[in-house]
Amino acid sequence: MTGRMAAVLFAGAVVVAALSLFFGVRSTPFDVVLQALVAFDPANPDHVVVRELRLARAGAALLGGASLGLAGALMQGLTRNPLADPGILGINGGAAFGVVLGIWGLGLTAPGALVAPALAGAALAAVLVLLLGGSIGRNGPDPVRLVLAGAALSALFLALTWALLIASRQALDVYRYWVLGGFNQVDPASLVSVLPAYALGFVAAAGAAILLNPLAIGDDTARALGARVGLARLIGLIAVVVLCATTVSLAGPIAFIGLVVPHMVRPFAGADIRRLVLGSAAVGAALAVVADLVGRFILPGQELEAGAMMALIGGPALILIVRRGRAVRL
Amino acid sequence: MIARLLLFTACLCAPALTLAEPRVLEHRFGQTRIDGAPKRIVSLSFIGHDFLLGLGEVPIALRYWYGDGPFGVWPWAAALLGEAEPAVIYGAIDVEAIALLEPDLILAQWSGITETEYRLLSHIAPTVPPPAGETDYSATWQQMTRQVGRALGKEAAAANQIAELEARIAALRADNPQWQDRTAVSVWPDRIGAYTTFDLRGQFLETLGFLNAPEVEALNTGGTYNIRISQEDLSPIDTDLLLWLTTSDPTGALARISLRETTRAYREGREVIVDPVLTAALSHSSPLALSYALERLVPMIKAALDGDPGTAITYDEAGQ
Amino acid sequence: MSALVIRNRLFSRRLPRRVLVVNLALFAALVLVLSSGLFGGTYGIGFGDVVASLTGQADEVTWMVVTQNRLPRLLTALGVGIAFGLAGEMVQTLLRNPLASPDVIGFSAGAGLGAVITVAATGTTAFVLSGALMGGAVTALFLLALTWRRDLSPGMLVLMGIGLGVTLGVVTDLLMTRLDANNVGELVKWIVGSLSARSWSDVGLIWVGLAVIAPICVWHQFALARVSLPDEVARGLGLGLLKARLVTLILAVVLVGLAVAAAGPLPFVAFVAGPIAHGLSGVPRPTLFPAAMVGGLVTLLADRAAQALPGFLVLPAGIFTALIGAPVQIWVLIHQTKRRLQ
Repeated sequence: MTGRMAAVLFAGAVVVAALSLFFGVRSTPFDVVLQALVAFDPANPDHVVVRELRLARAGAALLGGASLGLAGALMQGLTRNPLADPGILGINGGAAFGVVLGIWGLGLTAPGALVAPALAGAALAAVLVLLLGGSIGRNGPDPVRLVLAGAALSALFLALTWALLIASRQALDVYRYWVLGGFNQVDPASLVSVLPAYALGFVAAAGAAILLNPLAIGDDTARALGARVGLARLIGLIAVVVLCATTVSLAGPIAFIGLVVPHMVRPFAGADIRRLVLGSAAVGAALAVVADLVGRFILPGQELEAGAMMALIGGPALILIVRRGRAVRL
Repeated sequence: MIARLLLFTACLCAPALTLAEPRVLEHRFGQTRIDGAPKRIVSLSFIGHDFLLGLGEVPIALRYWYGDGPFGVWPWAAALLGEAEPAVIYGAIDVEAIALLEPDLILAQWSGITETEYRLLSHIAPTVPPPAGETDYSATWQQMTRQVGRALGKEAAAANQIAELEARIAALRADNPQWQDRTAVSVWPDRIGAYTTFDLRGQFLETLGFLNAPEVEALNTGGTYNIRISQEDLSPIDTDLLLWLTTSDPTGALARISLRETTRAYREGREVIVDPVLTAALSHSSPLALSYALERLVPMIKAALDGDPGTAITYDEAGQ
Repeated sequence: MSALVIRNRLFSRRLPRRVLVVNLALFAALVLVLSSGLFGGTYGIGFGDVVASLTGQADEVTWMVVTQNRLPRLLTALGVGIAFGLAGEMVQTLLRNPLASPDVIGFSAGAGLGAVITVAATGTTAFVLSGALMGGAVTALFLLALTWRRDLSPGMLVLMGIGLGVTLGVVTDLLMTRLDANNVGELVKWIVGSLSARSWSDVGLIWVGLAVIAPICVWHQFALARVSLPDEVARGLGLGLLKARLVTLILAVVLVGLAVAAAGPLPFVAFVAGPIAHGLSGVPRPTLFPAAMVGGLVTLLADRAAQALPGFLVLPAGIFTALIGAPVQIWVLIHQTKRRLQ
């Protein structure tokens, strides 16, 4: 995964995103789309759809997909565990719980406002899973234990979330659709309001990747050579939490991108975490945009949410990857 | 409004003095036999207390739906609670807790009750589930009023209530022939969810003479209560009259509907932003609630349909 | 005596004292929780009330509470817990990995989806068992096909199972959103799992099933113990690996199907029962009897917790199996690591 490959992938993702501007529930002819981008007329509903709705949606898919891919790669690097995925490890579950708590307890509805409770939930989950999974501390990570801890926390957060939902019929109605995870309800204002959070997350991710790279040779050796182990892990953790929480608050919990994408990239990136992270961002963005686009056609007369799409793709993709033996052995 | 309520309840006193003989109710899970005049009534239906209060009975326990009213009762019915303090049921149905209350009637017409729960509860007291042929939440207000009246032994009073309200609605229709065959729809702005005629709210609009948005009905292939409308195409809800239902300030949610300002409904001021109390009245859809709703909603509808964009109804939290 | 030895024509078995103590303690705990479920409670029931109900001398409400509400619920919870515990222990032993429990690798999700499909399609709950069995079977077959004749570690199977399970869960969610929003209440049971308002048909379903399957499991456990040895050793001993593995999987699928049909896919019970039982008794797996009892305990405790909520608040039991199962599993994890490090 050289810089050039990543650039190509990013470009591909952007191209698909651009393509997605042409398709959707409302049929928009080719020339209308171009006009919307070049000569925008706010009174023309077609233009509004293309320029505001679909653009925001494409942007959210690019950012969301990239952030989830990044988070997955970082998580796997931090824990040295090929099964690490923010969804499996309960971080998405914690963020989701935070969101439902925000809706139910504080009456928040705007995605921009939900980032804060999502962050709190995700941070809590991340700290808990790393503590319980034994990844913090001198003993070194144990892959089985980490995933067990993650599954336990996921279930715990899910149970707590359901407890809140059952007490409130209204929240349940909203949750049923939100839990499928999708970019199609993202409006421009919400997207703009979470951009700072994304910026922070991406910067932290870059920093973490650079700092984590030397650690691939092992903590003790790296420390002896002067690498800042604790700092690298902390920044990495912050990046994962911020990126996951922001995407969850915007588009609901989307599973699998964080798990599958690093495995797709690893054969090309080798042991270099910086390449892994960069490639994962690119592939994650591409995957999300494709999932979002395909979801518009796959059911007649209806849209399939990107999250559901990802699960339908991701499950079989994971199985294929494991079968081909590309996954690191446990 | 208080005067109207008093008039309602005054009509009930006379018929209630006749003795109630044993009667049988047919319903979804079979039959229920009721003797005498029940006094300890548990309402498991989310809106059952409204019907009971309208017929002059105060339940000893009621099912909480939503809202800040005393014991979950909304303003149009709260006055009829008087000094009573009914127990409030949250969440699912707890058979044993209900048994402790020693009721002599259990109403569950709009409650999601399962057949197993019905059979268990029947051992405690006569239980009334949805009418035959209806699903959990598809019964009309007339059906429910009739059943409640029959269960209480106040059939005449219930029939009077229905007749009075229907007459009032018929009068409204006659006074407003321009409403006939105009399209209307009620929608939640958060998820852009539009109600179909399967639901109380869709049915209400049709009894006033409107046509519930035909394109929404066309999308309703599965017999659902609420259809989700895509952000990209608001045409199914771009009707002659558009009611935005709210439970709180909807400004944020409405702002997030990018295409709203391009709809004819918006441009021509055909929208009515229904404040939370009035929304709740439409959702409860009992004779009491509908009486209140008609009083407040009709002027709003007239203003929205007068062809003058300047008279669009905006959000008013206080809502009288 | 440090161990109990049973030797007869059919089998010989050595039970160390610790195992006996643990089994007795678990049994006592079960009796305790069952009693606390039967007596007391929101609608106060005493011993006399129970006797009167069973002999037809109680008033209608008491009779209903005891024989139509509590007994079916408790018996269903116990049966479902036992079924999940057995299934979990067997699969975890077979795959030599505590992660590989039937609810983690997708059997429960598959059974749940099968149940939801049959209920949604036929509008009645009469065919739920078939749906759940089919769903679980299809999932198991799928996983089996994927691992056929390949040198895959159990960890890989777990990964694939997790993927499958999550995918099935999303499909179920999708189905729910496409369905009539107001019959969702009924169907939620098959997504989260619920023990309230159980009827005697549920009790019959699970216990008749257990009566048939449990003896087979007991008979099979010896084959299972041998199969869980490393492959080369087992082959060297000339044992029928393939048949034993298939039988284990079939038993697990049937047990999960029964349990899901009776109470929905209660999360965590199968996952937790085995490791807890093994942690307590310390003998090589499979530890079927303790696992079954731990499973029963977890579901009964979850049911008690659900019933003990204040006032009229009622939450489904599935929430509580997760709330109980997760921390306990974490505790066992930490405890085991500490022991390993000493």
